[in-house]
Amino acid sequence: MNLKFLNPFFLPLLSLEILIIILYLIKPKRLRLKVPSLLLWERLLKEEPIGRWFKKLPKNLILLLQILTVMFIILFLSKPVLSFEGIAGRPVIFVLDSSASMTAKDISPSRFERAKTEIINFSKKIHNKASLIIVKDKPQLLISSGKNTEIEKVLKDEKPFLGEGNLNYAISYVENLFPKESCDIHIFTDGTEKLDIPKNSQNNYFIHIIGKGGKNLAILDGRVFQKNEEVSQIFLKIGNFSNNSEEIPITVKNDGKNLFRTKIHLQQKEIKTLTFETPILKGKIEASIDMKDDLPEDNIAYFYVPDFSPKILIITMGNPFLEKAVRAIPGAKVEIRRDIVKIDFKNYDFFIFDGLIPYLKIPGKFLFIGAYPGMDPNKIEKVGKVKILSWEDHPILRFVQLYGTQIDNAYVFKDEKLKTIIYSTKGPVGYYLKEENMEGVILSFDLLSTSWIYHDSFPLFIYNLIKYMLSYDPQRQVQENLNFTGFYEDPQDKRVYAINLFSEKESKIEPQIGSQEVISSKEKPKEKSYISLDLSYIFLFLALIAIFFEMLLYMGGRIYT
Amino acid sequence: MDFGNPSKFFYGKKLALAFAYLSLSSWEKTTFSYFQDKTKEIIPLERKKENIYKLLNLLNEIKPEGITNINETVKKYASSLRRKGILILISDFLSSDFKEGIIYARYKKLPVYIAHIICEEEISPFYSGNLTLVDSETGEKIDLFLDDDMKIKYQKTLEKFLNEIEYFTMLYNVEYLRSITTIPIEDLILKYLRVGGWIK
Repeated sequence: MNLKFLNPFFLPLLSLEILIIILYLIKPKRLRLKVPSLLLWERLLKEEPIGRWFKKLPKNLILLLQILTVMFIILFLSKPVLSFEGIAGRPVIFVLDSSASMTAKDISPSRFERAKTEIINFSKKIHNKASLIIVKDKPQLLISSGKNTEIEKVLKDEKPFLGEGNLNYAISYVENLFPKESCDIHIFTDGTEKLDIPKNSQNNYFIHIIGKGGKNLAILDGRVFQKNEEVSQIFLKIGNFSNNSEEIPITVKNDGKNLFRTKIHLQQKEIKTLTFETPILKGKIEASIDMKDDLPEDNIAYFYVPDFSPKILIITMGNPFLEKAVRAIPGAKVEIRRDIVKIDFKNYDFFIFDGLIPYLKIPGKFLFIGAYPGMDPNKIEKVGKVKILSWEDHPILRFVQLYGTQIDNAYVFKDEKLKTIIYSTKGPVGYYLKEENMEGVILSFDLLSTSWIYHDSFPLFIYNLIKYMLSYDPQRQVQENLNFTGFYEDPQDKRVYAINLFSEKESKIEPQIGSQEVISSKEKPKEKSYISLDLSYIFLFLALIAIFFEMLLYMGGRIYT
Repeated sequence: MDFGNPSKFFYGKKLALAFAYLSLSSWEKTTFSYFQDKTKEIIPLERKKENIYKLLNLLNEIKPEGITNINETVKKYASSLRRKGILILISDFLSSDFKEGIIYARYKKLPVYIAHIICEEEISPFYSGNLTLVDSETGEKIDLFLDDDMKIKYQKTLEKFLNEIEYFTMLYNVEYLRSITTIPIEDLILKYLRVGGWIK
């Protein structure tokens, strides 16, 4: 315990106390007055109860109160601070790893549940300000400098994240959370990720390893490719993270029906990539390891092969090259119209407007040739005969050779919404437009006025465009908003996605942090902590009380002072 | 009694002299007595008018001093009387209890007349501030801070005290006259006593 004065130069004013005593001693005595009788005065004083009470007080109480008042005021001004060493703890931050490996059941009921219990038990023992961070693909601050009682309430409903965690990102987040305070940071993790704790950190780190390692067989990656028109290839990367070699049975299903079963032999800690060939696959495909282990979430791989059969509407006055290029797309269902009347746009996936442009904007994916809806006539410039010079590196223009292509009659659209993708000698002639409900490409020239339609790059451009606009990658990893593995149908675009864990880091459930590292973190010397109690306001309060009593005495002292 | 301007004592002496003279003039048998803690002296003036000088000489000699004990004095005096007469008691009644003595006198069938003398300083004290009040008879002290508020409270206490005396005199059929020393003695006798029915 240590008492310090922040403004010690006020302390010499305590000598004023002597002055008060001197003034008290030399103050004029009261006037003695003879009266015929005290009978009436005594009667009067009997009727004033406060007078009787004050009569019992020591005669120099006013002096005592005056001395105390001055002393308290001087002490208030000198700002005394009382410091207690080690009584108050520093703020505690709990960091809970909730990555997929924390769902491992090598300890009962699971690593995650055990970590939750340990945090709750730990928090009950402390009385410091506590913060709670749960680490998913990014850290989430659930409690900031709250009461330890809140932790149990918040943790109760928390579930593990079935994706990859990022503890090191969480550590850098924690380091910046309370930059002015030194905190005790307790990380509850299974140790599958090596921690990068800053060496010059002002915080103390305590790492609590939950989990002892166990048996895990995992599908670490996978893909389904179409080898040709009849054969599909399935690639699976399978790992054995147990301490024994294993004979691993694998089953592949397509839309719930067993496609084939096989077995592979993997040595301990071995990772092997397998390739299987099957008749052409479409729809939902599942590859599963039919063995029990401590982390079942990585035992099944999900794949989805979408059926590519787009419905394409071409509105043209007649362009055989364009029609032929669209019909050449495998699986495409093409309809050709010569006018824009009575078209139900909901029935088509893609629209090609060749010269015939709708007056109003329509939602969907499209190719506009010659013009586009809603264009401003003042922002059109006729540039006439041009040659294509360059083009952007865009998936739509992959493998497309446009250099030198001659255009007899081209226009330049000076609309800020348009993003140029094709450049000619006199300005841009190909644009990409993406608005709220519309997405597509605009060509500012008539196809029949160019030599492009005679070259191979034209059908390639059409194929790239429709593939780019209508196809998608159905493979996804677990994210915060998709915290599960399996199939997911997007309610907006009705596309089906296959969501997988596919993480070697998470499947390796054996702690990567050695016990030595954990011990050294725990043995890091604690910084001394202090609680500083500002006593100045206590003295101000005491001074006010003394003044109040002085006033009371004065009021009573009208009779007895 | 030695307070006020003129002092209550001087005023009382004059009043006693006046009563004695009036009594002697009416051919009444008159006795004068003065007391402190006990009766100090009794002068029988008989019915001789010239004895007024004897009283005058005595009044010149006596001084206010000692402790007052009205009860004992009146009791002893009343019990020593052989013949009935009227008892005129002149005092400021501030010293001690007087009720028992008066009651005893009334018990002895003595018609009692009380002349209560007070001075202006007693009605409204002119002093203020931090004071030590000393009882002139007992020497007791009281420290107090006298301000306007206290003065008002004092006056209320005084009023209550006077009302108590008035009530007591009414209760025991005692004639009561209160006078302030600032009222000239001539006015008191010729106006107030006449109005009050004490003299005709």
